[in-house]
Amino acid sequence: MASGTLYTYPGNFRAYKALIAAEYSGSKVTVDSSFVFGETNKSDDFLAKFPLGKVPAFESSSGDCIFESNAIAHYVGNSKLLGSSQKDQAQIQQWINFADNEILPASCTWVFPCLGITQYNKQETEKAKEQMKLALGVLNHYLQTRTFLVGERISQADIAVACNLLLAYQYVLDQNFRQAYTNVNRWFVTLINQPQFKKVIGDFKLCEKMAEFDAKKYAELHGGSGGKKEKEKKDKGSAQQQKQEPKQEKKKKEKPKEEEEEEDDDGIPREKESKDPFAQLPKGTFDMDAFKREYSNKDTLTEALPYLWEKFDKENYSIWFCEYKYPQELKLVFMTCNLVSGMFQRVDKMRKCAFGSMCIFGEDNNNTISGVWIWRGKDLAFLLSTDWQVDYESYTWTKLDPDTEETKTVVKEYLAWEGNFGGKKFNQGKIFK
Amino acid sequence: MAEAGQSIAALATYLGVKAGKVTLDGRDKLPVVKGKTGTRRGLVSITKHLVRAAEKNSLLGNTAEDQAAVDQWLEYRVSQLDRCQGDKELAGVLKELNAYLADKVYFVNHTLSLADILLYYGLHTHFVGMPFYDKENYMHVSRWFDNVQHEKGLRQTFPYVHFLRTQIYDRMSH
Repeated sequence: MASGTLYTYPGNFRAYKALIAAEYSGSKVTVDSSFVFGETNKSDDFLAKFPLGKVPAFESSSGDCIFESNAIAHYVGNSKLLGSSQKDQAQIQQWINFADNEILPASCTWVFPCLGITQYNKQETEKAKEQMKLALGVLNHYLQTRTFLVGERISQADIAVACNLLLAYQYVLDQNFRQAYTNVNRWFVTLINQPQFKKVIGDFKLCEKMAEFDAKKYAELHGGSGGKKEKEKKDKGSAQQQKQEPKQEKKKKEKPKEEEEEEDDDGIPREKESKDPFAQLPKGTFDMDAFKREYSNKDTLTEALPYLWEKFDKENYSIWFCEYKYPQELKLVFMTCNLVSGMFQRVDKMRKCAFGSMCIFGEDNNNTISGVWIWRGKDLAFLLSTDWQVDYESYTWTKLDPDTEETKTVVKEYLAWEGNFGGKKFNQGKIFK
Repeated sequence: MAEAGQSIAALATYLGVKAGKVTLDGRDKLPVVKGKTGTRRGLVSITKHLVRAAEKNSLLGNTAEDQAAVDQWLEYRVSQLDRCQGDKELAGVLKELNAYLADKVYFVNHTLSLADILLYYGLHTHFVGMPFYDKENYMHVSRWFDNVQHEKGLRQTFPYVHFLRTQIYDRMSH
C-alpha cells in the first residue's frame, strides 16, 4: 500500500481522482497543507522533483515522485480499482482516456468562461456543448445495461470519468440538459454518494441553472493591469449585462435568431451610447480607413508610405512619437508584449480615427517600447476620453513635424519595422489599426 | 414458499453467522426460528435479527429514512413478490420494480442494503428461467440484478444468471 504526500490546490478535480482512489485502496495520502499555488510549485525544490511545476504531484514516502493525476491514482490505487484481468485493465484504461480526451476538453471550454477563468467564445462554447452531448450519449448508451463502467464494481474508470464530469455537473448540466442522459445521471449520482467519494468531494449539488459567462469575474481575475478606471468600466459593463439578461431571455423565446445577431462575437452586449470622442474634431481630408487598407494590403515602402505622405492632412491630423518611461521595469519580452496589447485593448475605441505602430526593442530583462501614432486632431488623443487614459502617462509623447526628413525616416522605420531605430535592436512590433 | 427458508440460510452464510433451524409454520408457511434468545417469526424479523447479530447494521440503513425505506422493501418482498400468483402478477411486480430502478443503482440510498439482498434472493427463481426478451424488457431490474449477483459471497449456490450487453430486440417495434 502506497503512502505519501499529494501537492495540490484545494478543490482540484484532478487531485480528487487520486484522493478517491486512496480512499478505496486505503493508501495513506496526505495533502500538503502548506502548499501555496503559484509559489510552492514554482520553487526550485519542487521543480527539481516535478520539472513541469504542475499539480497534482505526488511524492511517496519511499521517495518516488509521480506527476499526472491518472498516474498518481494508479500509484495509490489497488487491484480492485485497476482491474485484475488484462481485459479489465485495458477497459479501465480506455475509459480513463475517454475521460481526458472526450469529456475534459469540452467540459473546460464550456465551464471555464462561466467561472471567469477564460474568455467566452460563443462558437467554441456551442462546439463544446455538442461534443459534450456526443460523449454523454455514448456513456448513456453504454450504461443502459451496466451499473458501473468496467465489471460490476467501482473501478478507476468510474472515478476518472466522474471526476472529469464534476465541473460540468456542478455548473452547466442543468435538469433540462441532463434529462436525456438518465443512465449517466444514475451512475454519477450513485458514485458521488459513495462514502469514499463524499469524504473527498463533500456534499455535491447537481446544477440547477446553467451557468453563463461571468464577465465581472473574468474582469476581476484578469483586470490586474487595468487600473482602477478600467475596473470601474468593466463593472459597469457587467452590471449592464445583468440588467439586460432577462430581456434577452424573453427575446430569445420570440425571435432567437435576431437576438443572436445582436450579440457581439464574444457575447458581451455592446454598450448602448458609444459617442465617438473624435466626432467633435473636424474630419479633414485624410481617410484613415483607406490608409489602413493600403498599409495592410500593399507593400509598406513602395506604396503605403507614399500614399500616406500624399494624402496626409496636416491641418487636422497629427503624428506622434512615444517612448516608454520606465524601461528598467520591463522584464521578459512577452510580458512587454502583453503590456502593449493591453494598451491596444483599452484604447480600442480610438481605432476608427487612429493608427499606431509600437515596437519592442532589446531582449529579455533589457527591453523598451517606443512607437509612432497618427490620429485625428492636433493634440494628444488620449485626453478626449477618460477611458483612454490608463496607459498614456507611462509614455513620453512628442509631436512630430510632418514636413521634416527626420519624421519621414522615423515613420518609415516604425511602419516598415526595419531600419536602425537610432541604434536600438528591433525585437518585434505591434500595429494598432 | 420454500424460498423464505433458502433466503434465510443464504443470508446467514453471506453474513457469516448461524441461522439456526428454520421451520415453516401453519398454512401460510411462516418461517420460524427458535433461538436461545427467543423465537422469531417471519422473514423480516428473522433476517433483520441476523444482520444485527453479524453487526452489519449499515445493511439496515444508516438514517431513520433509510431504515424505513429498507423496511418498506422487505415488506414488499413478503407481501408482493412472494405472493405472486402466475406470470401476470409477476409481470406487474417486475414492471413496478423496473420503473423504480430506472434512476437508481440500489434500492435504498446508493449502497447495498438488506432490501437488495432479499429481493435478489426472492427474484432469483424468476430470473433463472427468464427469456432474454423479458430480461431486456425489464432492463433496469436486469442491470440491478446483474450488479447484485456480483456481490462477493452473496450468490453462493444460486446459479449465475446471464445477461446480454447488447440489445437484440428493437424496443421501438413492440
